[in-house]
Amino acid sequence: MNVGLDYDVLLAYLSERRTGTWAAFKDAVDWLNGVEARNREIAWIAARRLEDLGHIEVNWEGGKSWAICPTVVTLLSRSGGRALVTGSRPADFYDVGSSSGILEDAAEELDLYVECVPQFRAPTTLLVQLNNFDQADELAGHLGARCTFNVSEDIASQLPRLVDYLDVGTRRELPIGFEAEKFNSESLEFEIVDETESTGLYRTRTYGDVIHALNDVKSSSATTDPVHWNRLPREYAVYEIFRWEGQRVLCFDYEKMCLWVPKDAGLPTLHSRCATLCSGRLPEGDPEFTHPTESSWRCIRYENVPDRIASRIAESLSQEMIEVNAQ
Amino acid sequence: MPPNIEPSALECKWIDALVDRFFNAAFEGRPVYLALDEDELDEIADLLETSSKDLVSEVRSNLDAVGNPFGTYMRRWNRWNEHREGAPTYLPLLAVCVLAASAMGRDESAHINANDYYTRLELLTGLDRKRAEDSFGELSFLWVSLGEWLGDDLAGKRGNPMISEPEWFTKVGWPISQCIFRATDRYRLPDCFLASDLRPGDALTREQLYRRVKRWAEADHHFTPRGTAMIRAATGNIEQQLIEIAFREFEQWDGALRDREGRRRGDIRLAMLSNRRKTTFLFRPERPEGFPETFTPQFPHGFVLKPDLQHYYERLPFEVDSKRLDGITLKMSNFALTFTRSSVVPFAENMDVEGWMSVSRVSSDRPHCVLIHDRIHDAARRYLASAVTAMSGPVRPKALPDGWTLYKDIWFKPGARTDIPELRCLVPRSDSTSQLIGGLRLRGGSKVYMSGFEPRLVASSSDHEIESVEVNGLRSMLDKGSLDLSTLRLDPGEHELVMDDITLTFSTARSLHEFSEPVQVSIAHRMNRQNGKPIESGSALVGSESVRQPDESWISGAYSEETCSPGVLPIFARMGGGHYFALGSKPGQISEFGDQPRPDWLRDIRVPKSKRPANWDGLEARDFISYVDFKAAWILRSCGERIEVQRVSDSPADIQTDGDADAVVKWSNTVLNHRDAVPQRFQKQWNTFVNVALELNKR
Repeated sequence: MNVGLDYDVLLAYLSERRTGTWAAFKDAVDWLNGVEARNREIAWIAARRLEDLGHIEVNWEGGKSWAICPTVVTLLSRSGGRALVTGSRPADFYDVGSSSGILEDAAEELDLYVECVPQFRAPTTLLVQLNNFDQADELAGHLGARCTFNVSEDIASQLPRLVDYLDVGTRRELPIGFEAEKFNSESLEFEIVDETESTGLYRTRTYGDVIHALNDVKSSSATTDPVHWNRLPREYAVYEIFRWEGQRVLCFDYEKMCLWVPKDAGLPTLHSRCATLCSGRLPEGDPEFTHPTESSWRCIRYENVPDRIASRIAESLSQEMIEVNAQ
Repeated sequence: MPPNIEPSALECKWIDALVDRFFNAAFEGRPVYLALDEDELDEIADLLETSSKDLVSEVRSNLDAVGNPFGTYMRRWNRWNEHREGAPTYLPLLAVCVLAASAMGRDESAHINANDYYTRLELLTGLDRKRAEDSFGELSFLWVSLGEWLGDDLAGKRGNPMISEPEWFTKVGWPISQCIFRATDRYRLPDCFLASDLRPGDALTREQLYRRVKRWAEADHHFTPRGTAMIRAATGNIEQQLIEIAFREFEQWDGALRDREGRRRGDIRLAMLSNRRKTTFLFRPERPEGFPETFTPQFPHGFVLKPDLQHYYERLPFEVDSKRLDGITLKMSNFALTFTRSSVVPFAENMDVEGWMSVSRVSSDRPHCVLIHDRIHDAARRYLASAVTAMSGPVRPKALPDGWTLYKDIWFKPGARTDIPELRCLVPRSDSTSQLIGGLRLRGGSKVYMSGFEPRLVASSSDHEIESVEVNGLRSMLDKGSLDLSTLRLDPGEHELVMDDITLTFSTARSLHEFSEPVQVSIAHRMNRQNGKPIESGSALVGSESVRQPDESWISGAYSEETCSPGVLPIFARMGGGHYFALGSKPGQISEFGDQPRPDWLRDIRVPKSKRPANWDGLEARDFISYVDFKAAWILRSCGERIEVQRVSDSPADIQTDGDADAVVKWSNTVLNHRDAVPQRFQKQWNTFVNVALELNKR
């Protein structure tokens, strides 16, 4: 199932190494890609996928670095009583090929059953069939792991408001002397512009970095701030533009419990993790889905997202969800 | 004059200065020497604002006129040894002994035999060579003591002492070993290693290494004139000593570069960036591993450099002008960033900057650009004409000062050679040694690899092809000088590779951690616990949980302390019903759910029959439906006309009746509506609920 990069090996390696520089992460991805692999994975994409699944955290600012996250056993709703095991998975934790390892031993001792669900370009999803919640707690105890009832519910309850993220952005001008591009909230693309005076989201490609900055000259907070530029991670800045323009982009099917997000307006890391861990599965492209606002937007679909979690994600991003009834 | 067991005030100043110069905290983990020579002596004297002759005068006055001339210092050693507090008080004597050794082999003392140590000591201190010779062996106690102080007492925090008596110099070998290679020259050795295509841990013999050092010293005059002269003239025992020093430095080299004062050094690179409109140049300082997050150069520079890319700080706030191209040095405590003047600047493509970045040496496997100054232009043109397969240019970049010419899209031929020192950076690199490449290292900088993911061995020699290697005593053939060690299925443990006269070791392990050893959170999303606001816009380095502020909550992956003390509880119920009620033991504790189908991806799980556990059917029928904010006692499930009741927990019969009035009514109505639905075996517990519900209905 995994093409090119073996994510299970990568995760085992990162779990053994525990922390490291971005260079070490990139070296590992490059080595595992192999010299002849046709389908090479790009390091930052691999990192984002592992972040969404709760395996690693990456400090993207400044001298980039990464760290493995604690192993967590968490229940999945509508899963037939299954628990997801995420976070650190060292080499001896579970060998997918031979169905052996610490997890298998612990499960056997508790008379539980481990299921491996392959995932495209991601580590294998490890699920454990439970009869009651106490077994999740016992399993975590055997593994030296943490246990939580519902990680998505818990992350959702802690998602900060979009405006609070704006407050921790860096008040600094867009770098000058580089080609500037402006975000178009209809096409969800950045377009080259000659001036950066008007309100909006801009980006420049500097030497090795892409800097996103909001020109919020008209916002209330800007009136007291001489610098009306706010450098932010792209995702927050994009959703702030949607807030300014009243653009609704998140779609939810209450019956199917699926959340659709335009691919070019991806969720911020915590929000994406919150939605991803409802199923333990990364969102997938959904070519069949037609976005009600703009049919040309390509969308990705998060599965098994309870409505209260979808609502919390939307609320945190100042979005009003579009209710859909996907066929 | 009574013997000065305690050092004078002036000697104390010299002791402090010597320690600061040769054994300071910047050298932690690095080899250190008491490498005093005349130049060093002058520089220390300048710092102390005293005469360079003072140190020798002090020592001279403390030499005993009768018996062991070093008796005073031996007594000092005894006294200091009682408590071993502060720096050794006998240090001035050892320093002067080294100073005498530093004069060996120098041109101005040519009338003295190069190996004649005692005559030089006599010239310096007035000590009769016969008396010195008789007692010099006793100083070995002081040398050993100095080594123990640095290595054991200070645990290498001021450097690892390189103090030993070479077998070819009895007695006098101690001081000679300290000064034969000046500190300034030793700090240049890492540059030599890099220029020789070496990497930390490469396997090569002492002689192979020294040949490279000698070639580098002779060709490019990178060492001080005295260092270069020493290497050129050294023979016999002196050369053996130089070989040993170079080898020790290489063994302990971690890949870092040093400036002439021993600071860890990063290079300032010249970046060249082109877009559709123009080409710009700027200075980009490297940020090698271990360098500070922000670099604040010492006075007079009034700026701070922040990390901007993976291995770099942000650009310097300087124009690329003639003055800056002549050299830049930025210092900050034990770190330095330098740009070295050069008449030829090669560039290679750099994906991090999406442009071109200056490199120390070209290679033949990728394109380059080269900036050449007029002062070497003609010679460079002639070299390029024979050394490249393709090239475009020349152009005179507008963004640079006059005198520079740029050539682009250059592909160098492998094996191109030149004798012109300034053009050596245009000689393509070649792998001329044995290296372990890639693999999954379990620890940064170590040679411990994850079992099954060992590196590739690349072995080559400058004079012949290496065809095979012995791996743990068994012969394996190389394919074009390369062997993928992961194909050998090595057992975890220590491994040895032997080829020609080179031995290389590494180890493999399946796992380095006991799983019970919990992962500590070191990068997390931080939120203010009081107001829920984020502290940064993304995840950030947080150190460890022990430093977490009480008003912060952290999320790391699927973990935070909040997630492990949840306010919601899960309930399990059999799937397939039409409607569900979950009831807690307190009236008002009621949740209502509709039927919830499983998600598609889960339905797709196919488990072979042979792998299904005995209770598989039961598991299949179980569905985890939702979370409630109370401890569920019962789940009532409607299946068409049928009502099914599931007892969830042994709930207390102690039922309280306060709470939200509507919810209480709903709770009691639900209980009464299902009063007859409960199986006989649960009837007793259910009746408790029914009775409370009846009671509530009467109110």
